Amino acid sequence: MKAESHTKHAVHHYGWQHDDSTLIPRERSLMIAWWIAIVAAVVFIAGVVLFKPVPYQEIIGFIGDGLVVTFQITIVSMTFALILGLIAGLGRTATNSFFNILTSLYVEVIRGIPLLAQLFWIYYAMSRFVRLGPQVSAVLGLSICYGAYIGETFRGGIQSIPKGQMEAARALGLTRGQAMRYVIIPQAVRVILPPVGNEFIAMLKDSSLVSVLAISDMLRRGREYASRTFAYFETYTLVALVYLLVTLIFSRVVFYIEHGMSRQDKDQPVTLMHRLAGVVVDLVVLDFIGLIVYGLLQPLALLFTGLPVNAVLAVVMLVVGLIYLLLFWTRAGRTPGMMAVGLQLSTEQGEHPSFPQALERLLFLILPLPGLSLLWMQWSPTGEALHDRFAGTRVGRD
Amino acid sequence: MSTTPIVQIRNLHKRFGRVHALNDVSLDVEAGEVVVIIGPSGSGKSTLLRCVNRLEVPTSGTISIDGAEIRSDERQVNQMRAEVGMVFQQFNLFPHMTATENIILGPMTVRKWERERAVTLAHELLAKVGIPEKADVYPEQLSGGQQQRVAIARSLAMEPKIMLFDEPTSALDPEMIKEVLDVMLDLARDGMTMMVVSHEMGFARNAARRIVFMDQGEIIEMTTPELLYTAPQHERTKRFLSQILH
Repeated sequence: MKAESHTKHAVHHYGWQHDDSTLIPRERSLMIAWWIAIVAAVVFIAGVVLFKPVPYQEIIGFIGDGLVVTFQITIVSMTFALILGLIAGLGRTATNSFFNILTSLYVEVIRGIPLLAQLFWIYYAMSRFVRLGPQVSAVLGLSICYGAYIGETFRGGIQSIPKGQMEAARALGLTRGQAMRYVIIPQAVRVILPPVGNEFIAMLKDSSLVSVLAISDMLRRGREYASRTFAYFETYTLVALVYLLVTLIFSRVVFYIEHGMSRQDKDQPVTLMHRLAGVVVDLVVLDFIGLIVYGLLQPLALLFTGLPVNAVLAVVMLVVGLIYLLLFWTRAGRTPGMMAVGLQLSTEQGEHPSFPQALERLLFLILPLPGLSLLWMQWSPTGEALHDRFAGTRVGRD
Repeated sequence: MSTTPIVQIRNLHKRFGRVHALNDVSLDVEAGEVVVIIGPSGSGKSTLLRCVNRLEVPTSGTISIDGAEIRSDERQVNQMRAEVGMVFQQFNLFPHMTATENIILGPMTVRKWERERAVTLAHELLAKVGIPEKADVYPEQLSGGQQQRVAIARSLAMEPKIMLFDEPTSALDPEMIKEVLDVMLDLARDGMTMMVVSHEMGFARNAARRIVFMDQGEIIEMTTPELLYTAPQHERTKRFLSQILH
């Protein structure tokens, strides 16, 4: 079944490449490399944690909440970077020359300065004028830097749409804004999504740079543990492997997005990997939305200090998830994650899903939600608080 | 002949840098008339068409549509474009929309029609261009001829007063040219005002009242198709015809 779908896929995409004697490496070998890497990483991590619990189990526990911080920094920064990127991308394709020059200047300047230098500048140099906390500095630095790169991705995506599309839309009497909204941007999104996914992965890795600002991300937590226990080899090996594991998972998701976008016939067999990739995309999107809702609700939540924050957050995330699901299910028949990987769960195009299909989708989305809200609960206003909380508990052999 | 022409082009100039794409072109098109424009590549025929619905902004000269002179006013231009349909050489269908969605976009966004009304019209138009069964199909699943017919239906959905055709059959495989020309002939018979850039002699003979020969941004000769093809007056026209009529 699986082999069959593969052959069909290859033939469909390359047409004439039926045998192995092609100049382009086949998809399957890339796939095999991915499986080798991820299985090795999982086996190694699980193996050392199970068979050598001292110190590995402790390290995992210690860098685990650093990973949460890494995710939080990445998600928050990515949200702002996407907004900045959209502005920059639209600005650089705009006909208004003032807006165009302004956004181009932003892109040129920021892309010419290393991220680490930017982070130092924002945190240390700018303190002469305003003192920003490490969190704010980190998010600001990552957002501004990645906004410039993502802006270029957006510009490339918009400009990759043939000129005739805009002309055809304008010839119908649409305004420039309407043409962008209904014709250009929906097409550009397909081009843009895979590279934006790659930017997300790159940011996840680059967020390790913020450890220089005393933020307890995964790398920093590793360093803290290692400097106390002198278990440098064990700690940094695990840190590297966890980064690798996370990156591998997301890179596979991006791979499916890329495929979903270019996939022409929608009636290909849907594999479990497709579904999982769709769920991961939905979770990231939900995280973005949850972030905004959480930010809006935070001042309100302070009024009800009696309620446990965790419960409130869990409820908020659940409600947001349900609204999200219902909205896309009733209007489009599928969620953004499914669209991204080209999933068509309903049997016929445009037909609404049957009850079992809907139930399946519901489960896929709701099941990971409690875990997600747990991630959110971990958020603490300062890295110090988190640090202190753990400093009091067991810290290796010191 | 007392009515004012629906398209009135006066002393039109268009320069692209140092290239003089249109040089003092004046042309009137009556309501219900079909005008075919021919000429060698680079003669300015497409530019002329694109100036009419202002996809190109003329360097100087005036164009009036239905009595109103078109200026660089966004709202007026958009209003005018809604009344002037255009069909492109490369079809330019929106690939992320089905045939029906392509057709209803204009009526729904520009004319603010209800979806149901627009869809009904779309289905009528698809039947009119001979592909009612392709309503829910995406452009990539259609042949070139079918795509161009959807593109014509998309323009017709705005119920235009004038239709512009910019080499509508040049990108088509030979066996698909006829199906598109047949749709255009039907339109001409229904009394649509059409400006057509095309070298299809059969279409010109059957549908056009006038044929315009352009070269180097100027109108060289303007007469009936019969006369132009059998007894061209100018040397340049003769040379051009001898090249396309092997």
